[in-house]
Formats: sequence, structure tokens, C-alpha cells
Amino acid sequence: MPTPYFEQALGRFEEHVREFDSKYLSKGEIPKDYGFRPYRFCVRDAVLGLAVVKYGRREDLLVVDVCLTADPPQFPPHSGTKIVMISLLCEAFKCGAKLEIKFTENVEGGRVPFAVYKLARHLGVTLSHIDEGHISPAEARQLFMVLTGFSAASSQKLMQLAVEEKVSPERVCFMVHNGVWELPEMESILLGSGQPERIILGTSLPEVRALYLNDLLFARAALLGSFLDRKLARRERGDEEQVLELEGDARRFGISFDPAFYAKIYSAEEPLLVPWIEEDESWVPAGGRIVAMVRARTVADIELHFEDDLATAAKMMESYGRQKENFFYLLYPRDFRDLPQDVKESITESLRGIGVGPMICPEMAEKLDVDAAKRLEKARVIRR
Amino acid sequence: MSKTSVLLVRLPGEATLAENSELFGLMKEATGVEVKLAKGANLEQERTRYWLLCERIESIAQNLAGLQGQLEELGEEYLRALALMVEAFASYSPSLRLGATYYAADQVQEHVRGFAEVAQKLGLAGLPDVKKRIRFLRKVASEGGVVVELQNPYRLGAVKESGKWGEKFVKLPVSDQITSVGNGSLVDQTRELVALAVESKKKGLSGHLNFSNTRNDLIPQVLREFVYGANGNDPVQIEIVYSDGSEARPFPLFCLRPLAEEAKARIVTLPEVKVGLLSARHPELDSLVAFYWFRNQEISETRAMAQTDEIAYEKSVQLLRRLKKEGGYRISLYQTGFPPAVVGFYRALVDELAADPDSRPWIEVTPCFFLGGEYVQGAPWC
Repeated sequence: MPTPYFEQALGRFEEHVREFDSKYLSKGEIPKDYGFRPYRFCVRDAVLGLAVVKYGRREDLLVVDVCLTADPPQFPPHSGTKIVMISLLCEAFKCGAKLEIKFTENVEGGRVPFAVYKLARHLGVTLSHIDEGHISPAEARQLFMVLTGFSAASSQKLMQLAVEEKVSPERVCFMVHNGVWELPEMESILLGSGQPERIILGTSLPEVRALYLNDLLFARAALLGSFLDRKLARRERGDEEQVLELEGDARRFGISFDPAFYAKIYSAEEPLLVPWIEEDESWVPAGGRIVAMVRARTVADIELHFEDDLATAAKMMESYGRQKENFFYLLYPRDFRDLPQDVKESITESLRGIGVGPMICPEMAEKLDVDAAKRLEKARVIRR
Repeated sequence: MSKTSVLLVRLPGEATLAENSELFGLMKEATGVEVKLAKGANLEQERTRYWLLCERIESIAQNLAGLQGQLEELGEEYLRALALMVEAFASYSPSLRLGATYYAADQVQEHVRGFAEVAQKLGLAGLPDVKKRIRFLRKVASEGGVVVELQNPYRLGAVKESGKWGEKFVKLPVSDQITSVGNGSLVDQTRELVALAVESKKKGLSGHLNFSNTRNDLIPQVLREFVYGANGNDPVQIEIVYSDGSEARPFPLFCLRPLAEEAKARIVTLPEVKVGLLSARHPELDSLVAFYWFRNQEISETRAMAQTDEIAYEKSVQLLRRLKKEGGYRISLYQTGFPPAVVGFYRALVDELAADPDSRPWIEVTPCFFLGGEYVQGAPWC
């Protein structure tokens, strides 16, 4: 249901688009942060939000001149407002502002938009400057954290890192939305590595090999895990001649992370096709769980540490139980395929012996390292 | 969380096996690369080379470990201690080689001596893993041999509750105030923002400045007031952030005192030189200036603004030290509007002046800005 301000805001948005076009687009220029920039947020053919923002250099905050959000019934509640708010928070962080947001007179008469207020209340965040049209840095921090959607364990870890003054939560949230590390990757880093702050800050340099190697090994594992996330989520529609992949059409499942075993747990909300296994086709039914122990090892490391991995896998099975809804796998990179045939067979046999299937991702550890190194380098310069 | 174990492998020092001989050759080559890395030359290429060499060294050690190696296993605690040591003593001594994963026969002795010393200084010498490592390396140093460190990550860890941090977290100092800055001139507004950042910093909150979109003449003008205008304020480091989300080194404020009259009189005896900040930006300056401080090709590359700021800072530190050795100069600096270069330059200037304030005056920098169709001089930094 449009608010009384809807028509006015839509008109204002169109004005901004025209101005943006004549001032920048038509001249092939990119606006400075302190110039208004209009954004439209869509999924396929549905518009979820419109916003116009600029960096207010006078007050060092993000100025929002249009903030319209939609809540189409086909999407989960608050989808539009969530997307717009995440974008505003990232923009405030990126511009170098102190994460304060100010809504101008053109946004519901200079108040924090009602949809934003509703969302904040739904998320348990109290906004105290609604009439002044401001979201304070403290409120923005809380919103950023809950909107990013960390698990309870990751939130605790994040708070611990903030209390110990190692990493600011805003930075971690920004990195997730900026694609440096996706949420499941970030959770693996936060919970799985001994010194997550080093990976998040990109502290180690390659010349301090021991620390850099350790960071890279955990960054590599986070990436290997996320290859599996994406593979499981991919739903291909179409026929034998044409395969269709649609935006917002991912398979539904929950992802959690077990730091003790460095394992990813996928709880299927619909049947999931298990990828990268020797069997032709294996489906995990809705309600079932895939428990995949992630071991991003090179050829030499697989051979050297397999006994260790096998013993851990056995303990993991004990811990999760052998119920029929649990499906256990040991995920290695493609390096596994480069092992001598007899070693491969022996590893496969040993794993099957305890009820764990080998799962071989088509990526090599070396390639994962290149990607991980780039992300560590990118992390090094992101604002703290 | 899962655990990482570090395996120390001691291999005989003599080249009795063909693999050993390759191993020693690789170690020698890698040590050569370390020297180049320390100089900062061809960083990207040398880092790749170093990575490949170390990988090969570790792979050979892995193969030989079972056959002829003596082993010692360390836990996660060693890596945590190492991180603290590297943070505090990275540039302690080049022969210390903190964080290396191999030690040739002639490197073990020096390394273990330095490692034990650093551990002692940081109060880490009592940690079991640190003790174990020192004991193992001392034995190798006395008996001879080389050492390679191997890592085994993702080992079974304890399910550790990370505790209830929520209560402490909500007490963290984060501003719950909203901002309202006056409608003064741009210079007043910039001044007000710096003052706000200083206030936040004093309250223990994050105090940062973003000059990405600030007019280039305002940056030195306003910063100068805060660098020299202590007025009872303790020195403070303000975080510098840029609009691409990157963060550079902090900028020191309230850290310089104005020069005494007698010292000011000596400045005029220094040779004068006109310098452009950045080449190839304003060709009309070519005939006016003696040289450019930065080459545009090096500074204006596509990279994060904080990286550019860091490069500008490092180059400026080097150049300023050279100028100081030459006896000092009075520089008229013709500025261009590229904030990371401007901030990097002035941070280097302040750091160099503050590092040895009694050596002043050896430099005077007078910024010149293009305003209203002509170059206007700003206040000098010395």
C-alpha cells in the first residue's frame, strides 16, 4: 500500500534520474560521492526499492533523498526494505562516513521512513531519532549486524572480536555485502580458524610465510566450502537442449558450520542432489542433512594427513549419529584425482568402510589459493 | 574451532641425498629472495617466487620427514605467539627471520637466539609450545642440520563456547549522537569535522577523517592548524578513510610545536626550490617547477585510495630523508587535487619533522594552490 509520500518520492526519484543523466551519464562521467546517485533494486522483473544517496561531506554522513521500498508478497517479508537498508549501510561505510544516515525533508517529511522503522522493530533494534530523520552510528551498527544474518555462534565471535578490539563488526558486515567473503565463507573463517582477525584484516604478508600460509589454508577451505554451497544451490531448469538458470531460483536449504570438525552442514528443505560423488545420482530428501567435512588439501597433504582426516571423520559420525537422514562426506579439492590410483582406491575404501563418501570438487587447491590471495590483499586496504 | 598443528622437521645438514642437495639450493635461493623482499623491489614477482620456493622446500621436507627426519609437534598456541612476535618485532633484526618456514644450517643458531630473546621480552617464553620450539631448535643448532616447518590445519578441535559477549559488546563506546554541523564556509566546516574527529577520539570512540572529496587547498590548511595547534592537547592519531572503503595510516595531530624565532631566521638560508606535487597533471607547471615530487604514472594507478596514500607516504619519507641529508631546502609545493597523494605527502612530512624535532629547521614546505585563476600561497610547514 503506497504511503502518502509515495507519489512525491517517485517524482523526486525521476528528477534525480534526469539530473544524473544530464550531469553524468550523457557525458560519460561518474559522479563524486558527494553528488546524488539514484539506485533501483530489482530481482528479475520486480522492483524492490528505489534510493537516492550522496555523501554529506559537511556533516560526514550519508544523506538519503529518496527511500522507497516495496514488499511484494512473492518475496519474504521486508525484502525490499532489507535490501535498501543494507545498501545504505554499505554506502555509508564505503564513503568513509561514520555510519550515520540522514533522511532529507523529501523522505516522509524528514523522518526515518516508516518501513525502515518497522524493519528495525522487527529485528529488535530501537531507533531513537525517528523525528529528526537520523539513524545514529550505534543504531546503524546494530542494524548492519542483524541484517547481515550471522548465526548465533558467529555473532558471538564477532562481538568477541569487537570487544577485544581486533575487528569492527561494521567492517565484517561490509566485507560480506561487498563480496570479499560471502556470508557462509565469513562464518567458516570466523568459527573455523584460530586467528580469524588475521584473515579478515589481511594482516599477514607472504614474506611472513608461517602466518600467511596458515591464513591462506583457512581462506582456501572457506572457498572450497562455498563452491559446495553454490553447487548445491544451483537449480537448472529447461530441457535436454537448453539449460536455464534463473535469478532468485536457488534450491532451499540451511547452511551451518561445525568448527570442531571443520564441517559444513546442509539441512535440506527440498530434495538436494549430492554433487561430485562417484555414484551417478544421489538425492538427499527434504529434512535430511549433508555433513561435509571440508579438507582443502593439496595432493601431498592428502596423502600425508589422510589418517588424521579419517580419524576425525569417524569421530564426526559418532557425534552426529548414523541416522538415515544424515549423509556424510569428506570434501577434497581436485588434487585428490592426481593421487596414484592405488592410493585413491585405498582412501575411498577406507572412507566407505566407516560410511563416509569421498566428494571431489572440480577446483584445484592451487586455483583456490590464487583467489584466496586476492581476497586477502583486498581485505588489507578495507577500512577498519 | 579446528586446530592447526605445526610440525618441526629436522633434516641432516650434510648433502647425503640428492633431495637434500636440492633442498639446500632452494633454501639459498629463497634466502636471496628474502633480501630482495626486504628491499621492497619487484614485490609481486618476488613474492610469487618466494611462495614457489618455500612450497618446494616444504614438499621435499614432507617426503623426507618419515625417512630421516627428527620431528617435534607444536600446537595452535605457537602460531598465536608468533603473530604477537611478528607484530611487535617484525623489523627487530633481519637474521631473526620470524615467521620463516625453513632454516638452513647456518641460520638456526641466530634464529633461535633471537626467537628466545623476543619471546622473553613479550612474556611468551613460558608457553609450552614456545619452550618446545626453543629446545628443539637449540638441539639442532648444536648437532647441526636444517629445520623446516610444516602445517597441518583443520585438525579436530574442541567445541569451545565463545562465551556470552553480548553484554560487553553493547557497552562498547559507539556514538549514539546525531550530527548537526553549522552552515559556515567550507574551511569552517572542514575545521569542524577535524575537531569532531578529535573529540570522538578523546572519548575513546572511532575518530576518522575522510578527505576523498575535500578541496585540495583545504587539506593542508586545516590539518596544519591541528598539527601545530596543540593548546594543551596530547598528540593524537586520527584514522584516515577514503570513499572507496579503504583505510590508510592514521594522521598525527598536535605533534609539532611552531618553530622558535631564531630557528625561523635560519630557514631563509636554505636553498629555495619549486616543486610540483604530481607530474603530467598540469603541463603549464613544467616550465615553473624544478621537478615533480611524484610521477603520475606511479601514483595514479588503479588501486585502493589507501594504497595510493601509502605509496605516496613511503616515497615522500624516502625523498624527505634524502633532502635532509643534502642539508635541507625551502620548497614551494604546487599542489594538485588528488587527496591520497596530498595526505600521504603531509603525513610523511609531519612524521619526519616529529621524529627529530630538534633537528629543525631543515625543511620548509609552502603549499601553492591554484585558486581563482592564479597560484596562492598557503601557510608554511617547517
